[in-house]
Amino acid sequence: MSVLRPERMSKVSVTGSKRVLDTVIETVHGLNLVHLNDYDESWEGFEAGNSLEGADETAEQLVTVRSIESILGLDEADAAGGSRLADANIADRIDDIRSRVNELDDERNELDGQIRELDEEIEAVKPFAELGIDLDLLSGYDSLDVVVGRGKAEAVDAKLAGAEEIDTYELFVEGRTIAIFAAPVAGVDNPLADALVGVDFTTYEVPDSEKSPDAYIQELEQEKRTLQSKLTTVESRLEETKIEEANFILAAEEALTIEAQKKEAPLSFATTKNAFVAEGWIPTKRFDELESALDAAVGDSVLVEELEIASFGADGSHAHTEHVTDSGESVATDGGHATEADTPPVVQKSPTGVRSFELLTEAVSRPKYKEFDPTILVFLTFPLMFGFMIGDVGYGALYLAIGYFMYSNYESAGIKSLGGVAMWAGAFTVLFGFLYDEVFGLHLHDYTSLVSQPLPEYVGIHYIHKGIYPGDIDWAIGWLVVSVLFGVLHLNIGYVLQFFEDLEFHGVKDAVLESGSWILMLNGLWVWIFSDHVRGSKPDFLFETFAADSVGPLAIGFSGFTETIGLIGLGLFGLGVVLLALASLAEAIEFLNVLVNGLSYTRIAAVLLAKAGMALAVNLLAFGAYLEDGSYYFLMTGSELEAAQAAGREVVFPGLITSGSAAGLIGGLLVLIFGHIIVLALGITSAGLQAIRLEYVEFFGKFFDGGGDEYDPFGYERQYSSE
Amino acid sequence: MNTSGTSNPEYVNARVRARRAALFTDDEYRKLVRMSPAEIARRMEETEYEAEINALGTRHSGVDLIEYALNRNLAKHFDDLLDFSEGKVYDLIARYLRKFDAWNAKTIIRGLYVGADRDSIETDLIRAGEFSDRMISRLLDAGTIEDVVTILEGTIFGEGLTEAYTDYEETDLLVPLENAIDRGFYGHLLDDLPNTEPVQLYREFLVAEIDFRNARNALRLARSGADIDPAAYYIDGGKLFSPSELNTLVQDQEELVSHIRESSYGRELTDVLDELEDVDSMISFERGIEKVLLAYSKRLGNVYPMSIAPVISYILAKEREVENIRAIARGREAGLSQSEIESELVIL
Amino acid sequence: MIETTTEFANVVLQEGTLTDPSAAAALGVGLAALGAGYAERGIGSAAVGAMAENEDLFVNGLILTVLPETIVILALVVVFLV
Repeated sequence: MSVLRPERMSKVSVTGSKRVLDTVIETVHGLNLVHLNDYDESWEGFEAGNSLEGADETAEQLVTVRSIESILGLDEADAAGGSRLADANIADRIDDIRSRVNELDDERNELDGQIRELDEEIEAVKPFAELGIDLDLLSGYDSLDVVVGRGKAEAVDAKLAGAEEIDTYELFVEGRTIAIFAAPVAGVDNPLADALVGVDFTTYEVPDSEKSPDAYIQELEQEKRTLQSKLTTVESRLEETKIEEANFILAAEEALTIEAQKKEAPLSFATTKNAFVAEGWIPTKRFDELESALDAAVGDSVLVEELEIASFGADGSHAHTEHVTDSGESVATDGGHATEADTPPVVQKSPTGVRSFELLTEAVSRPKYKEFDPTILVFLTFPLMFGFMIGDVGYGALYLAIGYFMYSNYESAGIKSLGGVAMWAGAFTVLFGFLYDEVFGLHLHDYTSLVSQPLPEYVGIHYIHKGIYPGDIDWAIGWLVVSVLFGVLHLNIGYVLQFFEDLEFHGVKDAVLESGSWILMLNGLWVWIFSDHVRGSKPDFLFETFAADSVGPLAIGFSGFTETIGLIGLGLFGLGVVLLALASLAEAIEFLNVLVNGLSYTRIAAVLLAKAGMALAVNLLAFGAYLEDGSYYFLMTGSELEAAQAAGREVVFPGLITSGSAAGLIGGLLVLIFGHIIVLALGITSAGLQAIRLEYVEFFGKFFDGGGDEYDPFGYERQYSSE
Repeated sequence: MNTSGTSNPEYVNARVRARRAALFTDDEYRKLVRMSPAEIARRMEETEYEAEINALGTRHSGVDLIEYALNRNLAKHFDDLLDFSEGKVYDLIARYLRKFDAWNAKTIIRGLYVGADRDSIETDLIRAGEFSDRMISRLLDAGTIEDVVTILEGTIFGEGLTEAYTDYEETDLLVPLENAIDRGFYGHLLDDLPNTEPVQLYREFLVAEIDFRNARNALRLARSGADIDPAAYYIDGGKLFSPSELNTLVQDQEELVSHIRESSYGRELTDVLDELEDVDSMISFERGIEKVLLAYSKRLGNVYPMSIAPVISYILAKEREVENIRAIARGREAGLSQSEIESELVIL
Repeated sequence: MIETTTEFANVVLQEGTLTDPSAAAALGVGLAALGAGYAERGIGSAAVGAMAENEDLFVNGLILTVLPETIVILALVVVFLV
């Protein structure tokens, strides 16, 4: 079962004198191999370490450099790589760039702010421009109250007419903008504000200018243009700085990142005055590399130990170790674990070709080190289900092409993996399409002389039907049954894996009670369902699908178990329920899951029919078809349509392309192309999604927890700088 | 504002949960306390705080950089909360986040009182409440405390402030103003809360927060022995003290402590009160009750996952994180030892 | 009004719309779909929220959102059984 296991990891410790700390960090960092664990401060006499000298300055420079990158919008694409940095200049040059960037950034922000203010002001003057009254006429009266705002003229008019404090008033209206000039009765100041309470009216502030509003707006816009051109200048200078300094900045960031990693590494170490201990995980087969590299670098000054080879099962075999330091201090530990995360990080190791499917597993979660990695099983079932559901040479070829495109044209590991998965799914779709004898929903041999018989018959097998044509209903029902049986098999695998995990971690009793019981229930129940017991109240199709006189390749001569076997099945089911109840009554209540989960697989047949139905509909609209002997025959040309009509065949739909008109031809082609694109796209969301759901919910749910740690070795892959 | 319409607790909770998961863990704090401010800033750049550190990193450094980034990040997250919540959920979040309006108002008044300049006041603000930027800049532009009081008139703080301003003019002490603001906040916290079960628990939590604040104030008064009217500090809405009880209790710390012990909070606060009696340190008592409150909100959030509770719990936890990191950075700057800094932290 | 209602009920119950197993099964499927849709509303909302925070959750969100669909499939199985 080793394909179900991740890479084997070993826990290592490096113990040494602080004299060689720098060299050790340098060497380990260079290897990029050890996944460091943090010291949890549990040993007496050992404190968690502190950063090396100079970590401060490095950190500060790094923060500055990254900040500069973010302000300049610098990314990977901007640099050539391979720059060599002279350490001495880094700080000065960073400082220089920083002050230049700050200055430009300040200018940019200020200009942005000014432009925004101008915009606001222009917006504020616009209503006055609509009104066309000079601004100096709108304020500065002793006996007149003036208000400009937005509202409904009638409502304002009505309200003001009733106001007692207003003697006379006049409205100037343009659209919804209103200027009100009101003379109050003697002794009242500014009566308008009070008078307008309760009317839907928003007051505008009168701009402080003596010009006509139009001229004022023009002036503001002129000002704005000036500012905008200044802004463009500043932005282009920022861009220049970016291009000029890109290589240096990226190289500096990389060098500083590495520096910071190294200087802060001791934060994870356990230290005394003179010694340090570092622990971490490393792939077992590469332990020798670490040992010999450290030996070459510092010789006997450090002790490198393989504390434990992490087992996949329950029993961890720790080697007892003592940490001996050069100052003669000796510390006995409880078995060599004083760092957190005592579970090893997980490196999945699927065979080549299957690796893409790790994406699907990780979409749920990275497997834990000690549990089965189901990637290979997903690989074995997902494309199978997908291919079965879509089953079409044409679509399959397109999925293959899309997958290949994603796989070969993208850098991102995620998209590459998705491409890989798509290629496998596409390949199986082609395979099933071949068996169904379908290319974009058509049986080729009916329409072209290039193919003289159904495709599978070239290799000597009779083709299978999807069950979409009216005459094929038996096939449709047959696929339902097949789906469920596939489901029962799939579920069994899940429960068996759970059984092994329980066996490993909780012993025989728990395994039998908590996993064995489910296996008994699952198989017992479904054996009973397919048996002659109470035959009368079970639907017939259960027994007819595989009967000797059934249609197609499904006729394997099975027409149900005997009543005795059925009763044994029922008994096993009952036994399973009892066993499970012994373990957990709460869980036993869910005994019907074995039925529900099995039925859940009928979605495979359902999607098969739905997708085939959609492709059929597209072809029917475009080509038209007549029905004969329960099968559709598509009409490729107008003359075929005429012939069919003349022969008195049952024409289901005459079709667009066959209509003979140019509009019909174009319309039909559009329906054909877009229709198939839609089916193709929906194929991913329905077949892909439903298949993956069966994997995640019905299958993974039985045995998979996930939550493994990512293997993140201490080190760095240089891209922009050289040492 | 989106107070009307259907609320979207599922959406809000999913987002809040993701953000909660991004908070620093104990292990990370353990590393942070051994780092220098520059290293802390660098570490922050690799986490949640990336955008803020990057935006400020060319202009500031050390503790300043950390503090500005913390404040900005806090404001961003809480603004987001208001941004993506709708309906009832918005209302419940908004009323709790007004505590930052209260904070900002108090900061500005305090700044004017000591004659600080506009910029230095502004850097201490946390723009996470309901006040608009415009409102805040009006407040900052205000030249006198009286102007601030006038500007705040239309808000929830208005009513009490106008009265308190008369007291302030008489005594020249900020206490009445600050209390008026606190009371404005807490007073409206409990306004017409609906009567569903999770909201009831939310109310209980808010009441607990008010009670703890009253208890803290009472203890401070009891210890200071100053002759100040306890009623001026009292916040309505709690169930731990009545104003008259408070008057007598502040005379005697022991009696006060035993009153708290006998209350319904007794069990949760036992450890904290024991420590207070043993060590007699107000600071550790204050940290203690904050921890209890934090734990309480977290428990509430776990019991009622689809309510306002996880959001409140997140708000508290995020605030604590910001305060913890600030304490670490300042502590490192001041050269405090690792254990001294650790005693400053509130970690669940 | 009441008369028409009674009449309608008579048609439905006696003249066989709902006593016809196929019709009843169809109604069952419809109701199941309604339930699934309602359930997916909340899940979808939460899923979009989670994705807004972390794009990697897209797959999980999608899977969780379609979970309630099983109920519709079970209802469909009923259609085949009647």
